[in-house]
Amino acid sequence: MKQKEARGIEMRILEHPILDISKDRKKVTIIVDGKNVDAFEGETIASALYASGIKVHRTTAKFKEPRGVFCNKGRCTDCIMKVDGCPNVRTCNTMVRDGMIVESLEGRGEWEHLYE
Amino acid sequence: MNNELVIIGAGPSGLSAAIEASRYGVKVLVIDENDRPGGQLFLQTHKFFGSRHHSAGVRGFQIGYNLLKEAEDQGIELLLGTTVWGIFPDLKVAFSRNTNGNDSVDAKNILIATGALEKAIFFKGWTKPGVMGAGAAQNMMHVYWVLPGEKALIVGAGNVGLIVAYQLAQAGADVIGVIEMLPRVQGYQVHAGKIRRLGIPILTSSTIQEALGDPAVEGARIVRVDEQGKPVQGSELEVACDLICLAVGLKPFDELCWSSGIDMKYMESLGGYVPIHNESMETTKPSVYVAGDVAGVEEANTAMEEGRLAGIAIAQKLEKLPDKEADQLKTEIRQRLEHLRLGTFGEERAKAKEMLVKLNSK
Amino acid sequence: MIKIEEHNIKKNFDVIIIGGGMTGCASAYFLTKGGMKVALIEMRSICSGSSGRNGGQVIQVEGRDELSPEMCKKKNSIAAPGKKLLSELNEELDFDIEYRKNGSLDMAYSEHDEKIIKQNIDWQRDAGEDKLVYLDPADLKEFCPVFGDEIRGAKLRKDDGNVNPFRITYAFAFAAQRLGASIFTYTTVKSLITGRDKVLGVRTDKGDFLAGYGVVNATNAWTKYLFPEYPVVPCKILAFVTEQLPTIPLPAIETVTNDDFDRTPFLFYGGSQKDGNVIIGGPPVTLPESMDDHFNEDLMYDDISRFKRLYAKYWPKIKDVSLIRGWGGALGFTPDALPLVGRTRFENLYMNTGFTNGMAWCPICGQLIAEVILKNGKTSIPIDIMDPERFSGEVFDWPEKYNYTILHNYLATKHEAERSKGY
Repeated sequence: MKQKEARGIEMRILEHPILDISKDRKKVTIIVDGKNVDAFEGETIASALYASGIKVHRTTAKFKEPRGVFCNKGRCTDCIMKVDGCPNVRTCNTMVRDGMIVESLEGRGEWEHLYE
Repeated sequence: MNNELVIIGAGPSGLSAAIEASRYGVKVLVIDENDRPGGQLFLQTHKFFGSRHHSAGVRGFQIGYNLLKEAEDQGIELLLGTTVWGIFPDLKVAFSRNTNGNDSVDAKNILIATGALEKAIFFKGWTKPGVMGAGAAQNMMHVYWVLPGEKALIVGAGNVGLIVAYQLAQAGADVIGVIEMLPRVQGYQVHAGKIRRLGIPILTSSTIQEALGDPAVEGARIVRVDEQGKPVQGSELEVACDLICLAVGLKPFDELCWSSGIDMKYMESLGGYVPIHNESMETTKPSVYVAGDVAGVEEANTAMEEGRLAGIAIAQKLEKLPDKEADQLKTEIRQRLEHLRLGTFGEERAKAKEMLVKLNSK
Repeated sequence: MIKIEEHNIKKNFDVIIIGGGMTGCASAYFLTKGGMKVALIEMRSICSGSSGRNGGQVIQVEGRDELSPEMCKKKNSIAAPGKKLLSELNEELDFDIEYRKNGSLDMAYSEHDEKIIKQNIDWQRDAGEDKLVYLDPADLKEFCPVFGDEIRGAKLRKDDGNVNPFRITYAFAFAAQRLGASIFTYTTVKSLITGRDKVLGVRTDKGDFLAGYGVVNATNAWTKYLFPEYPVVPCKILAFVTEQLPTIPLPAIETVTNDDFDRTPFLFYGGSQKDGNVIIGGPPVTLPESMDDHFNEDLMYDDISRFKRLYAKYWPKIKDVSLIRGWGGALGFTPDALPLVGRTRFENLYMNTGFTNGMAWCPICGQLIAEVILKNGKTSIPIDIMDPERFSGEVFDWPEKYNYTILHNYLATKHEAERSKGY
């Protein structure tokens, strides 16, 4: 299969023998740890990150271990990150939005806006 | 909001129940926490088998589209992106939309059709990014069109493991192999054959010892196991991969069953704890029904039939369907379920289901 | 891990304690430490009653309208040494009970609240307390920025705080076992075994247990089932907890407030755990049907709705935070809000029960009951105010349907006379 050549942006599937991959999805930009990342409207934050080669979403509180997508279904909470200022947001079931701010989570995360 | 029947889960069993109940005039509300309905059907690209009645030859996602269209045609109320987080003693169903706020509906009848969750096995490094469930990988590929890895190792040679290996290859990944702890491939030979023809090796009597790499998966250490499942020293093999896909079984997604007070029973052949229910899919909690994988992990066809069975039983209960007609339809469905549960794979499940019904009548 | 005892061992002990909550486990520890062979018998699991369901607040003197100068003095006499003991438990039991002295607050939402709270401060200062201050809204915001603008002011006690009640209970249980106590869980006491004019032991669903020196009732809310002569009534309370918020070290809170939706004042309490989870709680929206219904630990939807509103109203900044769990439990109420601790009129029967604000009380009462038994009634601090027999002969017309506030109002009217002395 000529899939490798068919892939454009990193890990996105552009051609598939069975699925009908849409060519006209709306492009949006999310800001991940300060850097602009391309995404498509209608996809989850986790998918957009994976597509850009970003697999590590956070580090754990006690042992500082890297975590990312595991169940991809909103159940295990391994994929959580800080989204628009709120820590502990599951990225596998939250859709991207143009201008969304996504930050890696260290431990339990900080809720800075609580003190504003 | 419709409340004669509130269905939690818009997968094959939930939608089938909705369509059936709605056909007889029941006002149905279907709630699903995902933004898209269809449950596991949309993860499946392969053609289903079974009789013509059971959509043999049709791909999983197509069955999903068909169900959705029928539901739309019936005008069934569908609340998506909405998580049901509680069923209270007075049958109040509490939910929140996109995790914000809370709302509720007072249901006359409830059908829990929440499906199944993936199991996991634990080995050193299993928490590293790059280790994910088979369903997780399917979701990423088939719903969001993102490849979950370039070099994939599949753990588990049951039907799910074999199918996802094929799907990963189709999507463009290099599948380096499928490993299975038992001495024999557990899934259907037709699936095993497909991946062997692609040159993907299947290693039986093997398990994964460690996921290697920092911070994400870069490889795996596989080891052979003996008849007791103990690792054979000196048989370790390190392979390069960036995706370790766990296909080690499903269990009923039964959290709502527990919290609503339904009596549960552990049944190994059905995947774990299962809600006790009768032949019309009603549980030990009156007016609360179950259908599909949550009532015992089986497959899409049994899920749809159980959904239909529950839908008809509820229409009958609400007196929208006369007893004679309802009983006739239910008998036909039960016959089809019996048929679906024939064969070596189905026998154990059939026995387990029989036992659940016996427990219910106690 | 709690070592679970087998039931075929010899069942003769020096002291039997009924109830495996904070009081029972503390009693087991101090008695075992004093040389007694102790059996602790628990109907469910260790810490499964109110000990495992509360907010973990350490509040030396809690209350509003029902407080009086006398009551403040009485409470202080036990709670002050009780708090001191809490500070010593980490070392005594070799276990971190996560005691954080981040203060306690009682907030005023109305002029009436302000008046009563300021009065409470005066009474307590008269009783010798120097750790109380009244905060105006600006001071309150500085002390804890999370609060909203609804609050007119608050009473702050700086050396109160939060603690982990599970850790206290388990610390006592582990330490008691290390010293040789035997713990029997999922064992229900059916009745007392009496003879020769004294209590000889207990009959359980798993056999008889005999006690040479005495039986201690530490069943709190469940007291009336075995000991109907002693006036302890169960009172259902709910609690909720949020996800971890490490940035907010919330002080302990015990206050009275109104709900926008039903306007009746009710108790509202809260605090934060060491990992930052914020707990709040209060009575259920619907009154339990009967006294027995207070043991129904379920939540209803309206309860969750009410507490979400309160969280958002009083701590508006944490309205985006997730509530992860909710539960119910029963406290043990007595006619004067003081527990029943000490000897009873029945030989070899002791009470150690009737707690509603346990953290500063249960551990020390565990120590005191051990002193009563080991030193033949001589205790390091006077315990007359907790005399189990002080209500003998009195008949109590408890309201049929009640919650925490209704009980408090009932107590307030009963102590009208005493309070009028304080004006």
